[in-house]
Amino acid sequence: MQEKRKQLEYERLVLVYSDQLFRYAIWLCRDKNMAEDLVQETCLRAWKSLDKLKDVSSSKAWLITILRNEHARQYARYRPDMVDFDLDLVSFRDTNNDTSADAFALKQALNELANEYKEPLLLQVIGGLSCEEIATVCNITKSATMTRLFRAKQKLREVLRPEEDQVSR
Amino acid sequence: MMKCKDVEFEVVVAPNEISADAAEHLLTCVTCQAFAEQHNGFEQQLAGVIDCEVPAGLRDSLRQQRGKPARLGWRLPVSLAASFFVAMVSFSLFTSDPVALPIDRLLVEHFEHDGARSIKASAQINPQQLARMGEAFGVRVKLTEPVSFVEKCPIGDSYGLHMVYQYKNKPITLIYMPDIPLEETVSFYYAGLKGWVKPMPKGSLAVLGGSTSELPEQGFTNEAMEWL
Repeated sequence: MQEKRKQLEYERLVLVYSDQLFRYAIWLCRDKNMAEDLVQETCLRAWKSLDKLKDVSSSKAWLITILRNEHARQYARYRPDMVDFDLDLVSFRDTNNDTSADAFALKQALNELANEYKEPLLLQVIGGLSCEEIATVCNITKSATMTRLFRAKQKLREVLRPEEDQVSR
Repeated sequence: MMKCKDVEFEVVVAPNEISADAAEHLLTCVTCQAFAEQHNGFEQQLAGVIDCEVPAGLRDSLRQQRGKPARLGWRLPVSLAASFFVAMVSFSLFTSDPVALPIDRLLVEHFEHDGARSIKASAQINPQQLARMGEAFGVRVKLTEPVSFVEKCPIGDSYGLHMVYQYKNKPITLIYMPDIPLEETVSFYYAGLKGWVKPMPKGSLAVLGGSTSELPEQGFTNEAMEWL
């Protein structure tokens, strides 16, 4: 790949996906600074291996896979030292901030979800990945992805409307 | 005909990916419609909870870090916000023609992505900073009005100089594209934007604003910048 073209493609990736990468990273790292470092490392690796990205339509899944691998490689081992997830970290700090009790309960329930359920959900909500893409990134089948998404959302819905969900069953 | 439970499953799993059968069912089943509407509210609430503020300088620092070792002062405050031509870059990177999309469409698509942010900037850009940026493009910007945003943007296979200034109390966007020549002036008016792109001695210059903005006359380009 020509240097100039590579540079432009890199900038396109940063433009389009850096926000999503950060939002996903902060849920993985549970720390703002670590999330920034993780995204930085991800982009650095993406830059180095940009020649390998042949299909531009898979850019997002490609970047998220790099981020996941990088997180697993560099940050997972620090997790035992982490304090409890500061829920405020992932709250809005702008005018759209939802400070309702429902939002807090939802955030807490999300944080307590097992990773196998939380991850597909975050990839869908933050990254806008399709079930197919989530399956590829998480290295599971599409049907497993769908089941996990369903269970994750079901669990979260129960937190918000416990009586309603029980009645509807 | 699908069963309601199956439709609910699809709606919950991925509302944007429901099958044709489920969509057909939704058209006729009031119960499922109510469920889908309720679930949509949940999805929006969930997205709100998951979303978070992204550090203002992150994108710019990522943009600048390529090829540099990680954690090398990359969190230094960055005064300029990034500005990019997403649609055009994503399209044109894989074509040999840098302006494969009509130039007006490229500009509008870019503006849809980056316009709000560039216009938000209210502080006046330091004249020296503006001069330096202009020099990088081989021009001297001679706008008499204060410029509130200036950025080097990727555009096709090259870069453009993106600026915003106030004209009759409305923000006007100028984008100088030295490597995108034009044979004649192109005017456009759609997607809530209006503007024109004019051939310049080198490349072209786009002027665009909101549908209610008053744009400067095309002769203004001769006064807006000079070539070094």
